[in-house]
Amino acid sequence: MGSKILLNIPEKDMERIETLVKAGEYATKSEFMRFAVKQLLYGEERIGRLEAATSKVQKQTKDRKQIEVEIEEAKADTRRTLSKGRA
Amino acid sequence: MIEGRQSPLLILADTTVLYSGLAYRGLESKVLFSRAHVFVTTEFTMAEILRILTTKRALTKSEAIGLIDAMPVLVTEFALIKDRWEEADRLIGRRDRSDVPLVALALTIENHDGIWSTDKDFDVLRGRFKVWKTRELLKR
Repeated sequence: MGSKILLNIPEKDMERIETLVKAGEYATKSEFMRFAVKQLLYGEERIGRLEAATSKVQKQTKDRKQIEVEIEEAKADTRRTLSKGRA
Repeated sequence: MIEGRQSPLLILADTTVLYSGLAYRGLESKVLFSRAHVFVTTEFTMAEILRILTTKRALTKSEAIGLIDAMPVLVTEFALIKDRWEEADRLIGRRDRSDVPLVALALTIENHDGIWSTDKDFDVLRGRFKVWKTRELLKR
């Protein structure tokens, strides 16, 4: 059994939730809210993992110039690939 | 829309801003991780970022793919943009062929809110599409 919370939801949002429930997208308003919470928590978890991974890459960055050079080289590769594809 | 926030924009992002956001703790990073907008790009952009991470940053392929998968960006496949490729090539191909995929995406997706790029090449598209600079997106 989960915990219960009382929410104040703007009228407009509640109307949209009710429309989705009536359309059969969600069995109940509670199911909609559970799904919304899960989605948000998943997003938070994903961002957390991403921030940890980016800090490894960011530690290797000396300055902006390094990034510009890396991007220019990668774009040059793309130009070559696209030119070959066209030939 | 979350109360108290402006509604999120649907923004098409290029390699320069996405990779900068990933590799440098600067303004691009703030925008990318703000969760304020929805970012979309092409598989060409992600292939460029993957190449940089594996060849310049010594990440293994699986580490790099894991990082890219976790980025808050939707990635579109070539099949989606191919019908607008020639038109995009006419618009920007002479300036920089590597920008063609993103312009083809901008021509394909209806109702997007513009392109996020610091690349001056995209300035030729002003008037047709909104081209966002990083500071503008931060202020929004």
